[in-house]
Amino acid sequence: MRIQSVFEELAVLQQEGLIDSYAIGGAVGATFYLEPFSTVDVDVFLDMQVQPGRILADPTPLLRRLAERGHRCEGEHVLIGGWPVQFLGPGNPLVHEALEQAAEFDVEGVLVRVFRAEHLAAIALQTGRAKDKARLLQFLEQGAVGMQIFEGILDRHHLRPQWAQFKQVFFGEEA
Amino acid sequence: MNNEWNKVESDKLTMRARLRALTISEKLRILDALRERWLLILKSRERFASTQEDTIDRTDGKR
Repeated sequence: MRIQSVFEELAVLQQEGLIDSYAIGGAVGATFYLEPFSTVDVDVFLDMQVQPGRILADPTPLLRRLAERGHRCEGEHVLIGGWPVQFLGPGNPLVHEALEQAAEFDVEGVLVRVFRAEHLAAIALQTGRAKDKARLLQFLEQGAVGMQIFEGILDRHHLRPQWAQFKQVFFGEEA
Repeated sequence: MNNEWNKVESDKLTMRARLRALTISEKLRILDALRERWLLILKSRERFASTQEDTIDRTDGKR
């Protein structure tokens, strides 16, 4: 079990030109800014063409290459280093922006692209499931997001109504 | 009771602060460990489920 293998494999795919830009999102992405989260998979967002109305990118050439490199598919995932990895397209403008502006981390000599904390928080607000709201609270309570940057994202992606509702529910602030 | 609860909450916050202070490599190793544990739980569940099926089958007189 080695999540580092996922990052190493992504670096190889980039070197081979099979993927252009990518970024880690979801719980693994949040772990770069907060405490570690238990999660079932690794979400890798790719700048790939996605058919309208779908969020899953067509990763056929990528999957073929990963299979050649000894990684097997399991449903929507590819198993790399014991971790199920899901490759996703940007899906909406917010995720597209997060992908473009991702931060880079040096993890044991491998450059890893990860969504910025402010984008992870905004995506959590937009997605809005219970676990997303809990994660957004953690980002806010731990001061992991720059509020000016975060609010700029909310404005650009029309998330003010969701933000007002969130603040009302969790902080008792009037909209 | 309140004091005990406050102590639990305080310990939890301390532990979370310590986890946040870890390096990224250390956090990622924790993710690996959590996934290993999760897989063990899944295997145990599967073993338990198959045992239950055996029991039901025997009760029904099918074996």
